[in-house]
Amino acid sequence: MQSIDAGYERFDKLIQTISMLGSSMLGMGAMLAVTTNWTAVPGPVRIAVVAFITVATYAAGWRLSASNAHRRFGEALTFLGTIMYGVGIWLVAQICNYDLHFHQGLLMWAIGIAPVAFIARSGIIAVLCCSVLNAWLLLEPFSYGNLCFWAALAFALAYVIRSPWALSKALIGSAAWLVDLGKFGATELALFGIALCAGFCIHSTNKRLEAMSRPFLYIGTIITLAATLLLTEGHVERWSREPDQCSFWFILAVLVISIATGFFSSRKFRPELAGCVALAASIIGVSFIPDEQARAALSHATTLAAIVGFLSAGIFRMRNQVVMILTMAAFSCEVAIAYFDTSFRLAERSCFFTLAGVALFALATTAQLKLVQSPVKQSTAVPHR
Amino acid sequence: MIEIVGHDEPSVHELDSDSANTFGVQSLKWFVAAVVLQILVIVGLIGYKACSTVPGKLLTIPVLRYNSASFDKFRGYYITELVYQAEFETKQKIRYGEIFAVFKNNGTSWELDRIEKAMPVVSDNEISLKGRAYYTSPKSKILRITFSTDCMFVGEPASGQPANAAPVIADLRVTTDHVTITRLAM
Repeated sequence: MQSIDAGYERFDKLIQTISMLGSSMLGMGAMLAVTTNWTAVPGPVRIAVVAFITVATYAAGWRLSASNAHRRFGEALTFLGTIMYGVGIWLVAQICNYDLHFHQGLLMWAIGIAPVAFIARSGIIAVLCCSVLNAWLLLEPFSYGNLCFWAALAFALAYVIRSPWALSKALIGSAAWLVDLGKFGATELALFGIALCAGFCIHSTNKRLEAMSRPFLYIGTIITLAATLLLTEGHVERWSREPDQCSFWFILAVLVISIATGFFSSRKFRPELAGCVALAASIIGVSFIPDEQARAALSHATTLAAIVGFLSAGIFRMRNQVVMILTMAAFSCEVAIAYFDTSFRLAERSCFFTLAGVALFALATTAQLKLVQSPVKQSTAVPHR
Repeated sequence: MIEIVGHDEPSVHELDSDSANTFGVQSLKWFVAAVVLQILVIVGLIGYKACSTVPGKLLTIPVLRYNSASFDKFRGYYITELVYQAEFETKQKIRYGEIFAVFKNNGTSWELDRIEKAMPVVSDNEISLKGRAYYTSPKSKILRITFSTDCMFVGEPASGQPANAAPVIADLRVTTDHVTITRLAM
């Protein structure tokens, strides 16, 4: 029984994936057909054809969603309908020669498909909606009003539909906005990454939100590690400038709220949150040191501390392979940056690597000794081959 | 008997199973409302453009439409420049610089009347176009005036097509700071 169920489920997933890919390809084909601007067919006829296809795919999608046998096709057709709606908007914008900076088209597309995603409870349509919203947000000029509207729609959609992929899109969009339009430096970006990691702690302790916790962990880890690495690149002016007053206080407020919520929601001491506080404090401290060389040295130390912290959390607390892989990738980058960092003399760099190597060996030896003394060594030891 | 297990995203009908058909009908109503909203958005876009009257005087002149490399990701190729070319003699020294070309309606068609360096005051049967003018060669009498327009989306240029296509008749709406192409006809 169980093997049949598992086999059926796998086959069902395969059908879902293939039909969604098919819908995406059809949608792309239709979008490219619009861009060819085939003048042999009059504009009103083209609009009528696209509108008919949109309504027909929605109707077929709804109808097929009702039958258990063709449910996946139904979802894929509904998804195709949302793409065809976007195709319709751009076709009209093309025929009516709307302005080149017609970014409202993206907004209309997203607002139009958000109710469909909500009613059909479709994660893939929510992902499309969040992607289109991200594009709109990044193409529009800097505006807190746009940001608030975007955040309300994107996060509400992701949480109502409970789609981790849509949430990932929203988090990526927020990071892109902070870098592109918010002109955040490495310090503010690192604090934002830590706030996301604290967000993971809040979600993982709540059973209702647990399914939505992973995007916070992965994107938070990537942003924090990348930002701390950028902090070590003292000669890149874009990233090394002193934090802007407004953005700094804004992101600090977000960080404090998320860490405080994390502490209050778990109601017990969590080493991850303590690590977040320590890392945030050291990053803030480093960014205000006036001496360039001292700042460079401390930023390397902070990056290494962050790497050790993430690695420890990945191994001991979360047992998460993805976090460990991301941390090891960051470690490789840090080694390369430190090796070529011309802020320090060759002898200084040599001393740093030698001392760090000795420290790591000492740590490994201590751990090995503890493992040998541990009573569970017999049962967990892996035979040497 | 096969039982489906582990669906991460239940369909509308699965969600509706608790409250039988009534909720399903409600969902269908909302779904239809969402689709109708989408159609209304598209109709609204058409209606907005149709209702917004383009201000300015109507000018019909033959133009050269150059192949455009400008490309919009969702709408394809577009042009934002047209070239007027005619035999025209003037005592003014024309270099490749900003000028105002004044067109005069002679009753049947529009023809280039004069070239001005500063924005001219025009009468009712005259229209001025801001652009860049130059003679095709030092001894030539063929004057070319390149002027910017609001964008107009065009078909994909055929590969191997010459740089400037055959002259076409352009209907333009001209205001002091905008030139809108309303029609390009062969």
